[in-house]
Amino acid sequence: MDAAANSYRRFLDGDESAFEEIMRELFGGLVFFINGFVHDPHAAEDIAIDAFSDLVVHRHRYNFRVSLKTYLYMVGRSRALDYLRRRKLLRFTELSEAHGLADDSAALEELALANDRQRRVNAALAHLPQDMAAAVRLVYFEEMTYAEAARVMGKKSKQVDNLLYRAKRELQSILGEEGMELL
Amino acid sequence: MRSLQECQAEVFRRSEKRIRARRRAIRAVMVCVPLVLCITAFSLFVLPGPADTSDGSGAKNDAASPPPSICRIDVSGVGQVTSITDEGRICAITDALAALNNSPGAELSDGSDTAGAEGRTITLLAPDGPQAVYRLTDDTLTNVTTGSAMALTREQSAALFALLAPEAAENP
Repeated sequence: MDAAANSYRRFLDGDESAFEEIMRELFGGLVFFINGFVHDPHAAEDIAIDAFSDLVVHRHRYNFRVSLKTYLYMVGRSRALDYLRRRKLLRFTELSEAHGLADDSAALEELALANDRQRRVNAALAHLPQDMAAAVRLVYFEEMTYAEAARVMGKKSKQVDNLLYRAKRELQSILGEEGMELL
Repeated sequence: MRSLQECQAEVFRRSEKRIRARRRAIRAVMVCVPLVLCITAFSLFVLPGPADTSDGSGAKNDAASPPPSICRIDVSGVGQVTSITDEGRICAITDALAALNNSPGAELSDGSDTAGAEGRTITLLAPDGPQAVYRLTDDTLTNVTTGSAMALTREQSAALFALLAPEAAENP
């Protein structure tokens, strides 16, 4: 059992402080991952809060068979896609808002991505299709296994493998030879 | 962007809200389900169903309609009209007429002429007007409403006359 799942077990047994540990470990990454779908850090934060709220409301829905991180990312992705469907996200945003979002996105990126290398890849991911970008984020930024990433994305491991292969080729064409080295 | 503490507080605030909403929904279902069951049971067992009138016999003839729908029977004989309002007698007469109507093989050919014979006219009256009119002679009962006539045996005829006679009211 992973550390977050352990903390969640303690939370279910009545230790309220354990929830803070889960938040500290997973919240930032989840917001960053969701932001990859919704491209709005505030909405991403909101969705992440809802995903965490699921852990409190539906206490027996998580069965400890996968890591808590995988489960939370599954919930987060599903909620993000719901949000996109609901809002039919348009690209028309006020310039002032867009400026604010860019600032927040940069802050979020700084928080979630450890080094400059990852930041360069993340910038290039904006040019990739949603599924490809999500696969790269899960496997290379969140350090999930192919199986875990496949679970989060609702795909098979082989499909994730294919997505990553194609993502590498795309990144190579965007970033040049350097792209292959970054991943 | 909010701090981690603020986010955690927001998580708990939303969770509380969602838990309260869930409890409310569960409580509503807990109230609604027995209520619906009670209403269904009440409508099935307590309220009278329409099955009695839809069994196909209602269309056969008017005399077969249930006795409570007939509130009075007028019997007109030779120059006199008698009204029967006693519920017991009404029931007995309508039952006898219904039995005769339903008895097989007793029917005469339609339009058989009984006008010349001496007899009585029996009018079954419901609150909303006449339901059926019969013409009774010594050996024939004619449903004037439908135009069908049936032959009666001497005993059947005597029994009907006895029921219609004013003395029957005194010795039912």
